[in-house]
Amino acid sequence: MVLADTVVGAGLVAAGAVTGLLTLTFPDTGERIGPAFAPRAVAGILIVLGAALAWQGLRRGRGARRSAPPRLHEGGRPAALVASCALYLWLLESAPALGFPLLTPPLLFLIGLLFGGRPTPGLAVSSILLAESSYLFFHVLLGLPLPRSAWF
Amino acid sequence: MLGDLLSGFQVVLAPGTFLYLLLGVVLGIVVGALPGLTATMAMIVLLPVTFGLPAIESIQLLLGVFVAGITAGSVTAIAVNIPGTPASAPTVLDGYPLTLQGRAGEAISVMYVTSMVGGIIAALACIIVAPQLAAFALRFGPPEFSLLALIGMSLVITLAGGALLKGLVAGALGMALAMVGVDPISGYPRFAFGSRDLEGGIGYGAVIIGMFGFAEVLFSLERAWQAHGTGAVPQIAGSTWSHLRIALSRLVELRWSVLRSSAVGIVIGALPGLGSDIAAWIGYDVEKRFAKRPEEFGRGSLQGMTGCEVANNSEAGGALIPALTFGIPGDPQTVVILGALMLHGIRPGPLLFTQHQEVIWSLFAGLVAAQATTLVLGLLSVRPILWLISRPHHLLYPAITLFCIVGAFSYGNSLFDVWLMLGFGLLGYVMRKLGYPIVPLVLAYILTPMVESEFRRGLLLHGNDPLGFLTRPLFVGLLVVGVLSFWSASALLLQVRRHGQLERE
Repeated sequence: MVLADTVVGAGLVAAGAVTGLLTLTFPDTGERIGPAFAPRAVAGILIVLGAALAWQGLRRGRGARRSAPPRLHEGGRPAALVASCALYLWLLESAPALGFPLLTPPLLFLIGLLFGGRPTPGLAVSSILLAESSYLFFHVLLGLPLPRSAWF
Repeated sequence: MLGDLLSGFQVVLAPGTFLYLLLGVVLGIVVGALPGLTATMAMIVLLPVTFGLPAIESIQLLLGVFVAGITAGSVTAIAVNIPGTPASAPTVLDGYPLTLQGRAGEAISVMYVTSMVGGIIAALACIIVAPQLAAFALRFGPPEFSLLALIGMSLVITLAGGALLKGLVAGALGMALAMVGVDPISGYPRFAFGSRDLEGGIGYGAVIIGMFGFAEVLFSLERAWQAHGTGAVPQIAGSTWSHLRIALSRLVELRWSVLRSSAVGIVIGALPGLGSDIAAWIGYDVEKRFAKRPEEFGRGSLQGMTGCEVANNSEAGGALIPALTFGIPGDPQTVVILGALMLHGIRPGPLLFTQHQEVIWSLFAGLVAAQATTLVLGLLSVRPILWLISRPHHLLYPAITLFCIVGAFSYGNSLFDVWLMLGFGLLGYVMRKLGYPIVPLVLAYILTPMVESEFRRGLLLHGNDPLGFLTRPLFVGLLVVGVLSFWSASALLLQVRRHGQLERE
């Protein structure tokens, strides 16, 4: 992951620079160490460490050209899981009529499939049972205000 | 103290409270034994459940998972050569050879009995030391608390595994995240970009659930064996009772190993950043040095297995000392326990011992009770657990993901926290893929606000002159203790890494 170190290092330098620039807009409170002090210190640390990481990546990169490429295909299923959860959250916010009780079973069914389950009625039933029992437990019993459905 | 502890036991052993401890132990045994699922993940999953419970019941539930999760991880290490948790990794070296010799039942019983004794010794150490330390810490002012948090943070960042530079980068990211939100002294909203959600800072729940829970789910997706179970497991001959009798007789033989490894676990636990897996390796190494027949290590030595098992269990008692007295968590499990306390409006630190006595003494009593309960339920559940790990468990992960979502939501009753949790889960996954340790990020995120706010309060007390801190004897004393801790912990870690290198060779 030598290239990754270089990229992460460069990203940290950029993040540190942006953080430092943003602190210029902070007000002067008259204190010797005001609200900008700690963020500036952290920005400096990010820049120094980022530069060190990028330099290390570049230096090691010369000797590691023949190493195996990163196995990007491994991230396919995790990416699908993150995308499913993001879609679920977006729907919870943008289609409030559906709410937790209706949107959660499809998400759980999909996660079951991603983890190697087969698309059987058993998986569908367990997804519905898990979602609705969780809703009953957390929303009704414990009073946690989970997003409600228009119909439940 | 004894009266307080007895009243703690009265609270814990009341049926309504004990039920939660029992539930926690059962869940801990199941989760600990399932490879890929960790005690931390189970505790994260239970955080939303604690939302609706009183503080004492919440802590008992989490303590049960904490203690049982780490102990039960060794069942699979011994029986099928797969450590259930990272802390039981060295157990496979001698545990599995014992199974190959047909002594799985004996090995598992010895593991449970010695773990319980070690865990109780550590709990007693915590019970004796923590209140004294908390009473002493009441004399601390802002400069001392700032220094303590800084020492804890630097220990965690440099010692928490992986390459030093990557640990430092992870720590710096945690510090950067802690900068978001209202400035602790002036009240100016930093890096909030007009968002009311961000003005309150990045939610504690979103960070710990994302990094320790959801990231683990994403990582598990890559391990095909988890979806399909472990396949065949060994048959265990003999009854539980006969194994227990053998284990008790072995306990007498192994008494010095248990005492030594308990001491190792307590010391490692009290040092932030090392954790139960490091404790297990050091416990194993120490026992090998003291062994009369070191050549048996790696071929089924009960002494070797005891060394790592007792050390990783007693680490819990040690880790709770700085977490409860100073609010400095040393490992992911204590981060979650502090998270549950904070969810109930209880702030860890020396005042915890004066303002929430019932909570703290029931926690101590629960730590002891959880060890004994784990022994009984663990021994009774060996065969069902071995059956369970041979089954496919793809149904578990949808539930874990759901509990991560609900858990993040419960911290602020807001979907914004769930989005953040998703982001931190992804960040945790990418960090693990690239070899960056997660613990420094989380602990730096927790401790940075303490360093900054206490440092600035200290400056206000000393006329804006940081050199004024050096006129405080307590500050200077802590500085010396910090340097010594750093030096000794670095030496221990170097030894573990060297040991690991030798094992690989």
